[in-house]
Amino acid sequence: MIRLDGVEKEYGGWMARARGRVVRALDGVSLHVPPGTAMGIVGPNGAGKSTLIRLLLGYIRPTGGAVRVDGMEPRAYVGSRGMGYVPETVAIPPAWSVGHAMRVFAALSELDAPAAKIDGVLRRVGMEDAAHRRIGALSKGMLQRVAIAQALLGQRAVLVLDEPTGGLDPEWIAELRAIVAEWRAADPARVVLIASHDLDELERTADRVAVLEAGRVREVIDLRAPALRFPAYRLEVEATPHAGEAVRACFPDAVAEEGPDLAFRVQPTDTDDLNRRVAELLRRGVSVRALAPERETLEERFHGAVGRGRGRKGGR
Amino acid sequence: MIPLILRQLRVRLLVVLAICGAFYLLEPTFHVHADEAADAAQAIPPGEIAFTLANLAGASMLVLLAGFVATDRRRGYYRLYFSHPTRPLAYYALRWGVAYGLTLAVCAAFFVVSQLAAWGEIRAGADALVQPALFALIYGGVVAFASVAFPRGDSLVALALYLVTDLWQGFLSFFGETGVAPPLSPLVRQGISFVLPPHLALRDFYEAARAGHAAWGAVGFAGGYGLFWLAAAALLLWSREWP
Repeated sequence: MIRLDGVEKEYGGWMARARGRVVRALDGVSLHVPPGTAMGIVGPNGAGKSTLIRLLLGYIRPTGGAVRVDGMEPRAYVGSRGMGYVPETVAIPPAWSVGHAMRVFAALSELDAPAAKIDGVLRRVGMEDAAHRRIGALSKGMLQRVAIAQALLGQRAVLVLDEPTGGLDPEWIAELRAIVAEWRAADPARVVLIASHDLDELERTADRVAVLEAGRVREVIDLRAPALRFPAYRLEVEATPHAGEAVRACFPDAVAEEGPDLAFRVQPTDTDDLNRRVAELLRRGVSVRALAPERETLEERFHGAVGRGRGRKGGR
Repeated sequence: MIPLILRQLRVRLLVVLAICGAFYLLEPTFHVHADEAADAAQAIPPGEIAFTLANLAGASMLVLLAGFVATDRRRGYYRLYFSHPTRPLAYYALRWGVAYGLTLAVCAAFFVVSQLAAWGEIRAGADALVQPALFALIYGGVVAFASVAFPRGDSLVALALYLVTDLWQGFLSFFGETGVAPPLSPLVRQGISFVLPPHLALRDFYEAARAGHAAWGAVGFAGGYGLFWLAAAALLLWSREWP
């Protein structure tokens, strides 16, 4: 659906070039987003996320490489089919009313029966009573909801969300998650791209996450793939006099946690190994209070990817 | 889309109507009373209102188009507009066309209403509407190009160009009437006259119309000037990246 091949983007005209002040925002980015994917884009500030999104919408052109959306140049694709888009900074003329803004967006999309569709999307974002309100008088969260509403107008195949939770309260962050899920469920081939610093939110919404740093894709993390190795477990036992000793006997590599509970981090090799060792622990009279797998969070993987990138950069 | 654009222009249209009122008050031709009308019609030909109409058309385009691309670029409104299936060139062409149509409608209404109010009859012929149509095209083209090229001040650029052209014509007239040798060579003078908006071409058209024939060359040059800047604006809009 979306394919970037060796995409480069430099900012600066011939004057900047002559002075050697060209800014390289993207440096050989290759990324494939197949139909039906929710792709997250994360990275530190200045990593190239916004440039990537502007390229996908056709607002800028790559300096090198190719960007294709459903086989088309981005501007040609957006000009003919449109993309649902919620920008990081929502800008709508402040003198317009919410209703007028939605009518303009519906007219730009050349929708049939726009009034019913506008009512529907405004109701979905809880703004059905705000159609008469001026854009300039809306709070940041309400403005964000108007932007979400206009992105839902028309039957788009691609939805691009740039920091979509900015300004939304926790209730509406959860609601946005539900809206995106509904939007995807309506057509399983739909693609959603979410650029965000909120890694917890991405972990809940995205299938894959591209980690960008210094204009390069450091890693594409598949959040739906099974873990590559058997996870570590957190084992908590009743604090009896010989419990710690028994745990160490059964799990020689157990690492005790600091804190009031008697808990350990243990690393079995597989499920059978885990069951065998736990059975031995129980046989020794230790009472197990909790046993939970430890998953590597997106945040840990993100820091790992960025850290590796910095390590490579430092090594050059 | 057109009704929505008209709705957005309603405050600017009020400004244009206020300018109409000011032009009516300032144009001496309209204040010749009925008892002196016969003489006045000889002294000030009704066709002279074509120049008032032309200035009104230019002013109307400046008001209606001010910032029409530049503001969208500078404030980032384009981000949401063009995520919908719309081509920027088509969108801004439509907005320009609505402004042009509105300007012609205002000029036509002013043409009728002002003459009826002043003299109780229509004295000027319909050919007085050719000059406002050309003037709107010329200054509409200049504003369009400036709006795409600069982040702000597009209408001020066009207004400055109008004033410079007026000064330039005064400069040429002074040397023409006094017989004093102008400081610039004929080639330079022609070059400057060629680059500036062709006000003189409209004067040529008017003089030819009074003499009973049509100056199509002058009309073509004036129209071509406006179309050139429109085409340049379209090319720049198509080729420029969005900020």
